[in-house]
Amino acid sequence: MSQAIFMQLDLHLFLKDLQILAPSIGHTLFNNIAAIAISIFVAFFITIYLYKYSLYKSSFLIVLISFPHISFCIGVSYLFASSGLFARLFSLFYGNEVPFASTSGHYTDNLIYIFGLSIREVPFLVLIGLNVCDKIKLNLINRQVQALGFSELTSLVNCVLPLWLKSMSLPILVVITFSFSNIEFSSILGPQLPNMINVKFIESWYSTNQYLIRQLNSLILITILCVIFTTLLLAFLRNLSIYFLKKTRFFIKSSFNSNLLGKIFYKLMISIFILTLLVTFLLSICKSWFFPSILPDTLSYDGWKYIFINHLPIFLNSIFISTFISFLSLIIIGLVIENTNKKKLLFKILFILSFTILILPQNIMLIGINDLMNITNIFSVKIWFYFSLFIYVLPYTYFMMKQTYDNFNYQYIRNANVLGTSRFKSLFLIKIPLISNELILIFAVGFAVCFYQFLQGIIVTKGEEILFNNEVFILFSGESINVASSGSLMNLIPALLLFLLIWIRGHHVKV
Amino acid sequence: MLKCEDISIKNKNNITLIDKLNFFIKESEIFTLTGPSGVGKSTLLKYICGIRESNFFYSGRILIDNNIINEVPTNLRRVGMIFQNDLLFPHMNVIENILFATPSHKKKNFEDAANLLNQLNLEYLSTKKINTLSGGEYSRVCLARIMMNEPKVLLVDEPFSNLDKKTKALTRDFFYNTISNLNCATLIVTHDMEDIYSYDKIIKL
Repeated sequence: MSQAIFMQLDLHLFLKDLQILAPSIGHTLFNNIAAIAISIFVAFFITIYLYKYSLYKSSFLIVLISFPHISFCIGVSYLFASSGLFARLFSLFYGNEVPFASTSGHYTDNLIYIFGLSIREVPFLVLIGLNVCDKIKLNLINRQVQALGFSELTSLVNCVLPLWLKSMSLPILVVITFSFSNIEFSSILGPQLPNMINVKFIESWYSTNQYLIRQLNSLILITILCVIFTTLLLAFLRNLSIYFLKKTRFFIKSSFNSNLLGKIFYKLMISIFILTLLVTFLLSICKSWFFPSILPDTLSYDGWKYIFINHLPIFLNSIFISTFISFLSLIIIGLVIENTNKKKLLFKILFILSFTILILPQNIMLIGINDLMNITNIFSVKIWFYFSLFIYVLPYTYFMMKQTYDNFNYQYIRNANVLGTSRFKSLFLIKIPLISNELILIFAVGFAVCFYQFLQGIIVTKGEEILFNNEVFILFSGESINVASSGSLMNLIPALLLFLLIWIRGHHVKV
Repeated sequence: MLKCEDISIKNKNNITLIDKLNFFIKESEIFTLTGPSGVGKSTLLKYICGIRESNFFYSGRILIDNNIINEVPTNLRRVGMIFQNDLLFPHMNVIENILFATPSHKKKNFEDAANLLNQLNLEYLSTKKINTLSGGEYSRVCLARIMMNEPKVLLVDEPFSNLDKKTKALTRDFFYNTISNLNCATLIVTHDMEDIYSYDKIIKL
């Protein structure tokens, strides 16, 4: 396979591929740009709403962010399927003339894809967006603008939005690269004929057909060009809107309650997440569920039983791997940050590495790792699999750990030092106990990120080593619906339990 | 006991804050260092303690019992310091905070810590959590913790600045009564003339 990557790119063939793949590229660009734009819009209003009323709990948003893509996509597909929950609810009013169904062509699929991806990315943007609100002193801006006689909406649209968008560049870039490299959304929710380029990418990767293998070169280039195009387009739109917002004064006397919009979006987002869970749960325990019944007709636990009997080893193995990788990353990043300061080369390398991993399309990066594995031919596939998981946990651990260290009050360490304590003793008796809540949260995030990695098993090991997350996708493609649903729910359990424990601990142990 | 010779401190713009300062504090003696804000009082205290801030340049010799300690790490200097915003460790209770200043949690150390709290009339605080202490209690426990470490030199940086007037007067009396019975050289930084007691020797910057 590595030969394909190092094949010289032929411009003539690339243009020919571009022509053949044009419908796929069109779908991909349109769907992703629309989904990202919607998620930014929705995230802004939710952020403002949550920030204003201090309603947010970071741990709750992290739970939503950790909701596995696979399980979410499966849940959304069940909601919108021709005999899905929404169709059943609509049939109460419209009979069998349901206005949407996945069989009604790729236009509906495009809409479902946009819906699914935009909702799924909102919690991530909101979590970062709330920190940005703190940084730009949102409440102060609101007060000042209103003291000048303008409405709150003017403050939000003309002053807060431009500042917020500028500070959100990196997370938006992460969402852009994710949307062009993910396989879960494009293969489960996306249009089928033609497939999106993310799916074409994997088809070429697994193909034995020489034409498709060669096409992978074009697909890599197309993916990179799509990411660049989308980034530039969104940056242009952002700058254009900031320019107009500076020149104009919209909604000066508007009494429109902008928080209402945020509240509606927030409730809608939570409802979608709950509905996907509910429908997946009902499907996991149903034996028969005839259309248009709202609840299953007969219940059965066969799906769960099947999963426990046949898939428990891979489930436990995935938990073990994720625990190990997350712990390792915590130790390594902790040691580096503890022993270097921001000016040191190692610290800068770590920052650049973390940043690069986040903004490079994952499928392309993993093909690079696969090539490295084939060329060097050192270490087993298992080691490369662990390595590829580790490098995707690393940025999250790094950025969260860095923030924890930045927020730490070093006066404690000075006090300990003055009391005659060595650096080693103050690390274990003062610093670690004081940041223990944050360390546990970083570990949990690392665990969830690792447990829900997907492309490593597909690209790096080509199925030789996989996680339970991959197994769920296989179950969705080939097994009965209640087995797939049971697997999808079981996939949620480890991270959910971990965050629940952190939440309970947070209420009892306040440092 | 504490001798400072030709101490000079410059900031990164090469402006001299302290120029060749010399003083000597004997055992059980209390000196007060006073002067306007930004003149380098706290920076000098930190320097004596071994905390060097990167945006200052230091020169001069610091001696304790005639030994030069300029290169001795903070934790080995036996210089106790109460910072302006001193912090007790919030994950420990009062007695655990005081025991932190001892090499180990042996029974003898525990008894010493309990005796110290008794001497200072603070025994009722021993198992209290840090976040339940009042401002005055907090300052007193900070002093008790540093006393447990038996420092040769005690440096105190505006310890009453965060307290209200009534608490300040009570805590100040408590501090001076306690410190005057210690066998260490004490240097107190303040810009409030009310904090200076008659038996203090004053260094004006």
